This record gives sequence, C-alpha cells and structure tokens, in this order.
Amino acid sequence: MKTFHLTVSSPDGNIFDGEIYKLDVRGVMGDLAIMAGHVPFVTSIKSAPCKVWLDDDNAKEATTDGGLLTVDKNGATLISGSFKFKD
Amino acid sequence: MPNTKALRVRIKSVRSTEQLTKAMGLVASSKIRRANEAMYKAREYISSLEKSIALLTSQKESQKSPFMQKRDTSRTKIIIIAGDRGLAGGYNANVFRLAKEYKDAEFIPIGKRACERFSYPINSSEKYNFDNALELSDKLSTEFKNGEFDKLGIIYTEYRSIMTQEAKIKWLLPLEKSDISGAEGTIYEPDHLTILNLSVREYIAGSITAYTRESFACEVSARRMAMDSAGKNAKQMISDLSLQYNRARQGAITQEITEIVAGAGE
Repeated sequence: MKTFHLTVSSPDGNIFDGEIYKLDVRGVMGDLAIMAGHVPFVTSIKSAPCKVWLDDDNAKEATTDGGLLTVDKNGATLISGSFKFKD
Repeated sequence: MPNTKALRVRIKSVRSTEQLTKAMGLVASSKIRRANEAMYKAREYISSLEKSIALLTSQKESQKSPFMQKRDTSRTKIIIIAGDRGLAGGYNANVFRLAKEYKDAEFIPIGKRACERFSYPINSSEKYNFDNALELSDKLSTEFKNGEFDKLGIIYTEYRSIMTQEAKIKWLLPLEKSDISGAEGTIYEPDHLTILNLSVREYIAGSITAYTRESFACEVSARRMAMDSAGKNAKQMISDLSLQYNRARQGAITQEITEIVAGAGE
C-alpha cells in the first residue's frame, strides 16, 4: 500500500501532518480522491464533508469550510480556514 | 518641614499602584505564551497561503482577475488592529500614529481602542476569530470586485521579540504579480483565474486572522514590559518617599526633645 504526506494547515496550526493512503474532498469541479503518485495539481475545495484514509479500511471523517488543495511531488497540502475532524 | 501625614498617604497610594501594575503584569505574562503560540501557528498558515497565492498571480491569465486590477483613483480602505485595553506602553499610540499618514482612507477598526477612536461598533481583538474575519473578507472582496474602492491595506503590529514590536502596513488588494514559478506540468482545475478568484476571500480572512493574532501577541508583550517598568518606578518612588517620611519623622522627634529640654532648663 503506497502512502503520501498530507498537511492540513489552518489558522489554528497544522490540524493534520502525516502519511495517508487517500484523501477524499469536494473540489469546485466535483468530488475527487488523491492517492500516492498523483500528478502535480491545484484546485479550490468546496465546503463539504471529507475523508482522510489512513489505510484502505480506516478513514477519519472531517468537515471543511473550503480551501486550497495543492499536490506536488512531496505530497498534498490543504490550506483551509476551518477543518475539523469528527470525534 | 514636610507633612508626615501627607507623605504617609502618598506612600500608601503609590504602594497600591505598584500592586495594580504587578497584577496587570502577571495577567499579561500568563497570556504571552498562549498568544505567541497562536501567532506562530497563524503565521505558518498565512505563509503557506501567500505562497499559493503568489503561484497563482505569477500566471499570465490571472492578470484578468478583478482582484489584480490597479485603478487610477485611490479610494482606500484600511483595516486597523489595535488593543482592547490601554496601559500597554506605546502599542496603541504607534498604530494610530501610522494611521495618521493615511488621511483620506476609510478605516475599519478591530479592537476596542480602535473602535472607540473611529466611532465603530465595539469588537474585541483578543476574541476576533476566523469566522469574524471571513464575514469582513466577504464584504470587502465583493466591494472591491464591484469597484467600490481601489486599495485595501491592514495596519498591524509586527512582533520581533518581547522587547521590540513595530506598527506596519501591508497592502492586500490589488494583488501584486509575483515572479515565482510552480512545478512543470501542474494541472490547475478548473483554471488559474477561477482558483485565484475563489482563494482571495480566504486569503483576506486568513491575513486578518493572522495579523490580529500577531498584534495581540504584541499587545500582551508590550503591556508586560510597560507594567514591569511601572512597577520598578513605583518601587523607586516608595523608597524616595519613605526616606523623606523618616527624615520628617526624625526631625519632628528631635524638635520635640529640644523643646522639652529647653522647657526643663527654665
């Protein structure tokens, strides 16, 4: 199972900073999933529920108020004013 | 000869001022660590956001964005961040001094002192959060897009160390074109221009939040230093007044003894 690095940056600091398997978010053009080896990519994220998959059967659910998602060779960075994991 | 009763009253009053400054200094000290942590976290966030915005503004098609249009007229709006309370050395005064340089600008204050000065509904800089900033950002970005004003700035206090802070202005809109380039073959979905236009709202809100937190860290540090020096001055004053009081008391006793001795000798 290939993983990649995800950083979720918010005004309250890095909400998440670690290796993940998959990221499910809602972009302006529709739902998308990011996995390891994704091409360099930039998009705006809509306010919606999202999922951070730590491995293929363990997902952490979260909600975001929108933001900016950048994927490069080092991993993915989600810059969001509000990003909260569900308990 | 100085009046001993008046001196006693003054010593008591200075002592109570010393206790007040000590209490205010302690409150500021307890807030410093939390305020600094919040500031560093927000700085990290805003620097990532600024980097992403710079990547977008470097693209040719982004120049069409309404947020990058430089207009000839100069209707300026400036967000000004000051403290909620006084007794913080020159913290509030420095911010207002810088604001005086922009006489024609319309000011949007954050912080009780700034609201009082510009006759605005009161809001607190300590409790100002991202949701408040987003509300203000929505309003300002829509107005800018509609051409209601031409320049948006923010006056805040930059934190250098616990001893040094400086009032500064940063221009947020219109966005400047940057020279940095992104990775080859990066896909922008749907395109640079749309992403840039959608990100401006978050960029302004993020900047307001980050600079409000930085200014608050400056406020508590400035208050701590001001209260430390006020406490030292109060101590010095008590020592001087005590010396005067003891001299006066001693003088009065000596005079009484002289009068008794003189009376006994007659």
